[in-house]
Amino acid sequence: MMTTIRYKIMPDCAFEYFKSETPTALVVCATPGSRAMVLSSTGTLIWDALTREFQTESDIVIAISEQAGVSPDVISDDVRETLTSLHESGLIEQG
Amino acid sequence: MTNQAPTVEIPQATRVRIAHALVAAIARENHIDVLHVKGYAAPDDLYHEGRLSTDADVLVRPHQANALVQCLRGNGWRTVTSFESGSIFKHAAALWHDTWGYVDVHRSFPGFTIEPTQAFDLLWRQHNQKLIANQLCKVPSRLDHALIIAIHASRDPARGDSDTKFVLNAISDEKQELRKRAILFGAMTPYAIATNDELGLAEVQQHPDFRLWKSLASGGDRLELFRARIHAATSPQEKVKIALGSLLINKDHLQMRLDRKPSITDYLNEFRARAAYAFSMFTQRKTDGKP
Repeated sequence: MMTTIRYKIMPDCAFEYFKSETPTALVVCATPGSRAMVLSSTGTLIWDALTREFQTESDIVIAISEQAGVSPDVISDDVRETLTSLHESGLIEQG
Repeated sequence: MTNQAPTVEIPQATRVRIAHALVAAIARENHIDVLHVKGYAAPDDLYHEGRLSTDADVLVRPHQANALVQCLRGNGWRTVTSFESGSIFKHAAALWHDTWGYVDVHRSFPGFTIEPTQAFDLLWRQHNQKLIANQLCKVPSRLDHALIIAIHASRDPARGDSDTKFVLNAISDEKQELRKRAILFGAMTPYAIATNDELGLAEVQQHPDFRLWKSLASGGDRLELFRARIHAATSPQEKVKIALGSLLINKDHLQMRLDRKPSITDYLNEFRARAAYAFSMFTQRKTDGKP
């Protein structure tokens, strides 16, 4: 069951996309005093969606499934886990 | 699909930009006035493309310098060199973060001879903002940034020449304005040396600090730099302080050189080396110019 909670990147969060040896771009994000988190693959796509504005979990699932060409069912657990992890790390806020 | 990347190396340029952004967020949260200078904080067209920076440089309102250092220490940075031990100008403290690397906190800018708070106010009055790694960082105006790059270049024998040529070319229409800013900041000596400004060089050749900046620009050795510092000192007390200071062991630098905490033996060895060096300077000075 997807929640209607909206998520947004914390105002004091620093982040930047970068290239590594992986085929897709990565993103590193951190707030002052926090550990750095590096996201890849779906994680990068989730972060990309979060940069737009407050997004619900279902908004993000739909955006990514369209971008990646996969069914929403395949990625919904991944998205939920990542959002939870980002929220617990203080990198995103709920609004 | 994986969401969190396995251990990957974050490129140095990214780490430096994140450091800038985190410092901006920390300064904003703590009401500390900070200007981000040089490197990735500079307007993109003032450096040649692809030039890499190894640290994040910030200039803080002088009376807030210690507060900023404390805030950074509270957010994972640790002091490597203090304001007192950092350089002959005692202008900056270097702090290290295990993920983001070095931040150099400047409380003044070498070459600006006006009072540091006055210099900061002049820069602050015309500051711009630049988005770095998602944080708006306050930066000096384009012209002031060009001046900072040129003046810094005058004590960087490795990249100074190419940086100065590039920046002068980029602001070619505003050279006279740049010169006026150099005068305003009391920075004519390093400005004239860096830019090879003929009129300026004629003016500053008799200034006490000319030899010092010439020595810095040419990457002069320790002896030459020591003599230039003595020459630039404006009072006998200051000359004595510099001479005695050359014998004092800089704990932070020694630790960096050894890459470990110095032992008593390390201090003794260093002191012996300095004393021997001072003696050789003395004897060399006595025989200078003699057959």
